[in-house]
Amino acid sequence: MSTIKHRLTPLERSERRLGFAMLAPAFLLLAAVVVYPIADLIRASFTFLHLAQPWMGNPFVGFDNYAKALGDERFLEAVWHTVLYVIVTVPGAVVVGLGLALLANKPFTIKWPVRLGLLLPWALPLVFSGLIFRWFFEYNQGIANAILRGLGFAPLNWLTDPTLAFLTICLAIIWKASSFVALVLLAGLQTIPKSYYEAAEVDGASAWQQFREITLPMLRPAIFVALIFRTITAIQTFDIPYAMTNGGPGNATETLAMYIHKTTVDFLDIGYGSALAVLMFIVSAVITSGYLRYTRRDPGRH
Amino acid sequence: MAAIGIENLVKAYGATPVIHGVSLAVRDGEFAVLVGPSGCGKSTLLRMIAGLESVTGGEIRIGDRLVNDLPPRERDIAMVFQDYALYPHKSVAENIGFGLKMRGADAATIDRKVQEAAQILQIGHLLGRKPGQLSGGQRQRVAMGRAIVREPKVFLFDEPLSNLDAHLRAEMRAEIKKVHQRFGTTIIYVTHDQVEAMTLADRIAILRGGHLEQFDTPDTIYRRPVSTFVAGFVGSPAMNFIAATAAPDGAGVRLPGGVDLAAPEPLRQRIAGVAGKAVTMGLRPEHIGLHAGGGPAVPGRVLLVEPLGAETLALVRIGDVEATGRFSPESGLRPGADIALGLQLDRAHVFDPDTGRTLTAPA
Amino acid sequence: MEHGLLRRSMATFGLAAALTLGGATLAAAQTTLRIFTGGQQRPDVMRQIVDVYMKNNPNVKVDVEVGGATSEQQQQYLNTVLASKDSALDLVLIDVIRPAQWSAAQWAEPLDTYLGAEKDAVMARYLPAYRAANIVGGKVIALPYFADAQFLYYRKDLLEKYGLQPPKTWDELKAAAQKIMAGENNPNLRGFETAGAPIEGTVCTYLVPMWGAGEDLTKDGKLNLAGDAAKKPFALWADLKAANVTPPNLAEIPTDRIRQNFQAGNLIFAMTWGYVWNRAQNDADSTVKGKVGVVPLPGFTADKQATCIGGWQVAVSAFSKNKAEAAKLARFLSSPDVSKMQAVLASHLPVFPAVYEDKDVLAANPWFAQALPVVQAARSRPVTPRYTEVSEIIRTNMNAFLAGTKAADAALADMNGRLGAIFR
Repeated sequence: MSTIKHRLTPLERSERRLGFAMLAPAFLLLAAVVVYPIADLIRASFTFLHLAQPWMGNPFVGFDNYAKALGDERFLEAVWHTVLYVIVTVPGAVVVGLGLALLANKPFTIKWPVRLGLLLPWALPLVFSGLIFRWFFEYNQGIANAILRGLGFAPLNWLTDPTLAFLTICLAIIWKASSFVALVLLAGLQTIPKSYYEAAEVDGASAWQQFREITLPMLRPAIFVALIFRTITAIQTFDIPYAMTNGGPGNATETLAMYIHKTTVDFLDIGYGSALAVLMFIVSAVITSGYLRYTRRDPGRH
Repeated sequence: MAAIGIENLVKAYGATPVIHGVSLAVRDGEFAVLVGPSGCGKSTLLRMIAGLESVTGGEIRIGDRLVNDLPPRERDIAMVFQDYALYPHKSVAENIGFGLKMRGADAATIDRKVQEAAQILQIGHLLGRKPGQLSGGQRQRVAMGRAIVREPKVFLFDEPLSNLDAHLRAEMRAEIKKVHQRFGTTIIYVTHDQVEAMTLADRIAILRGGHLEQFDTPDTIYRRPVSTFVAGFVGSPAMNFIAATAAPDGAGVRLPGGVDLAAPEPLRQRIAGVAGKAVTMGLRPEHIGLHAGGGPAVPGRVLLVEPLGAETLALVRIGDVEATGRFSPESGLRPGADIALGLQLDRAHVFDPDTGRTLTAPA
Repeated sequence: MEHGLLRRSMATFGLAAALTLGGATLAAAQTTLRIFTGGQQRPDVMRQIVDVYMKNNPNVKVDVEVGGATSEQQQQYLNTVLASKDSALDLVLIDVIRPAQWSAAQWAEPLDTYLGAEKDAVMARYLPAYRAANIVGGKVIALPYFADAQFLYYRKDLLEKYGLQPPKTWDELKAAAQKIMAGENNPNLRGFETAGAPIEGTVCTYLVPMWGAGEDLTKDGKLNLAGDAAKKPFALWADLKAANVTPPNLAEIPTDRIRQNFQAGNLIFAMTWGYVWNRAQNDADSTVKGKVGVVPLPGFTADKQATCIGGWQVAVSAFSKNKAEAAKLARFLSSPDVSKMQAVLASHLPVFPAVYEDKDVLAANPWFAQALPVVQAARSRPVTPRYTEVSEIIRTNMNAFLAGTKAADAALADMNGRLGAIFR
């Protein structure tokens, strides 16, 4: 970027005015649908607002809601569960997605079955995926237990044992999310010139060496994009555990987003729920900016 | 170092053949250039030698080994790609040393050989940079460095200079030539540029539509082209082709527009077998000039003048024929001027107008 | 389009035709009412009922909107609609646990003025529990649509086969289930199920044994979890689980799954609601037609049987634009005729004592004669505007306990802590 400042010519100034004018509608729309709701959310988070107790009004309570959150064991548990989902499903989805992308990038003569298999989980609504996996792991009717019984093993409480429930939810999330990751990575793979592999082939690189020395480093920007998106959606994990266990057993699989939903939509405690949502927003923003800083520092991106 | 033997090589994609049984013997240490217009199969042929394309039929030998089914890494070759195929995330040194590293060389050896190669190619100061920070010519040197550092039996070049501007191209041609002279490694070099072919090659293979037209030294190719295709492909400006008729008595040729020219002895021999028939006569521009005694003067009119400094090219009309001639810059040609031309008909080529094959080439 | 047609008709057929059709236009100026009901409250029967209403009130058109299957799913949807003061819904079918919350949130239009002078007389006709549940702070918040309570469903054929009487205590139930399971030797046959998933019904899974032990969740408005009675439910369900009478996946079983398992013939005893009778007797896929018995729930002792009161009420939305018409429909839906219709068509328990003795009703549901005292004795879940939170605390803890992830002490401690913050 140039640091030299120069005076704008009248033409440049008028172009700039036109530019602002053309951006204005988009700005206004953004303000209406993003800025205003966020501002109102932040405002509500500093008030008491419980729709089941309208007689209490909407008084300003300072940081009370935030203080309450830090002492709320269930909130801390939900945060911890969310962190676990991020730790397991983000790398999980990236690894599986990378495998799928590599498979889809193979020069099969008929590409559509692979690509359809890639797109289907992505095209399926989240709740659907959750329901499918719930049917899969149900104690009596589920396929997983049918297989176990068929092999002569005792059926497992997939959805009511906290560890198994966590793992089955992770599996569902990874299945669902890896196709998105695969699509992003497939786009990245297709930008790598074929000659890189041919040169490596001539130079004597094995398939694994080609993957490690060319594919992986060349995919880094795409992997970063996938990681950022996946992390942000993992922080907001809601639909799949909601459909599979509804947070159960107890609240062993409850995520932050589910707790916020419960607090606001079920309990109608809008004030406290807003504070929780603001906290989640801050966590997302911090992680995203961390990623962005890391990618910007990365010199291999030229 | 190794000779390369290609026998009856065929390549087909499905039912579509692109190489129709090409045979070519490249000698050990030879600089062979494959040249031809795009789509002639020259790159496919090179990639088959490299092992990047499968062989449909025929044989490829490198040295004594039949390599038809060997993967590229076992053919002991190095290749420079048109887009250089430099890894953007690796430094210049890492790019050059890549092949050695992949083959398990130790770090000290890699470093030493990379330094040597960099010195030869004068890119020692660039070793720490990334390809994105290099100019086109520097990238080209790095790509060559990656090839030479491996000390393979054969270098393959796939249009390596086509992304450079004219000035750099000349410089890099010299560089490649130096590398060849230094290492003496067999080189197969693909280009569509006849100047590159002429300047670099020990022998040139001219391909057309998947067939080999002629494989010979640049001089022979230039002086004794086997067909109008080869004759027209080599030389700039291109050879003039004139639809003429051999006189029934075999003593001369008649040009369109009724210009009769007496044939000197060598030409007379060439047209002896086609007396009275139509022929395609080929005359290079340097054999058309101002009349300076010797043969008969032929009247012509100047249509276009292109002064190039060292020489002046002019399009002239002789009867109904338009042809390019090469003139001295002092000849003072003006468009529209009528001049007396001297044609060196003893250097004229005669081709069969139907097949384009030469009848007999000038010595 | 209708009007264009009318105008053309007038031109063609002249004054006489115009007069007749003019009458039709007046009738076409209708009020459209929209009523919301849950998917499990037999919307098909609701449609038959409103068809009757529309026939008698040609100026009213009633649309039935069907929501989620469970009480919480419905309330989640309603929370978003009503918190935004949406006028799309005129009437809403609400769970018996909701009137206090609806009153507090000012979502229900109090019906006192619409009932007018008849108010006391109208309300006096209902079963006392429903009268009490629907009057909050002296105002009529909703009108009862049908009553409900949890009963013990049992397989008459299996009990007869083993010479057993329907159990009156939990110990008898355990013994009977074990005997039958051992005798049948069918791996798919389970002894007993009640709701264990983290859903509203699971609140009753906790409260019923607590009531059976003689205590309630609150006492004089204060939380009452200190005594032994609060531990009884945990002990009971742990005991039945240890005896393999309840299945290992009790923690994933929601209300309607109990009915499905019972109808499939995989269950000896079921603790569930009135609607199951009609489905088990009439559904095409039911394998237990004619093999179903219904009795009051067991207690710890035969004389102390308790059950959870259920049932659904019609509330008029405070944001409706047709409150007067909506109130009229609500009164119709809460009438003895409709109560009888529901009893016959859906085995919905009537909200009027007299309807239990109706000949047609008893012909369809012979067990209704026994059901009236059960409903009359059935108890209410805690009445509080923050009932959703209360319910969530109880059911998640109960669910965690049933899943075996939380010990009884920990679950009880958690309930104490959180419920304590609500019942201060």
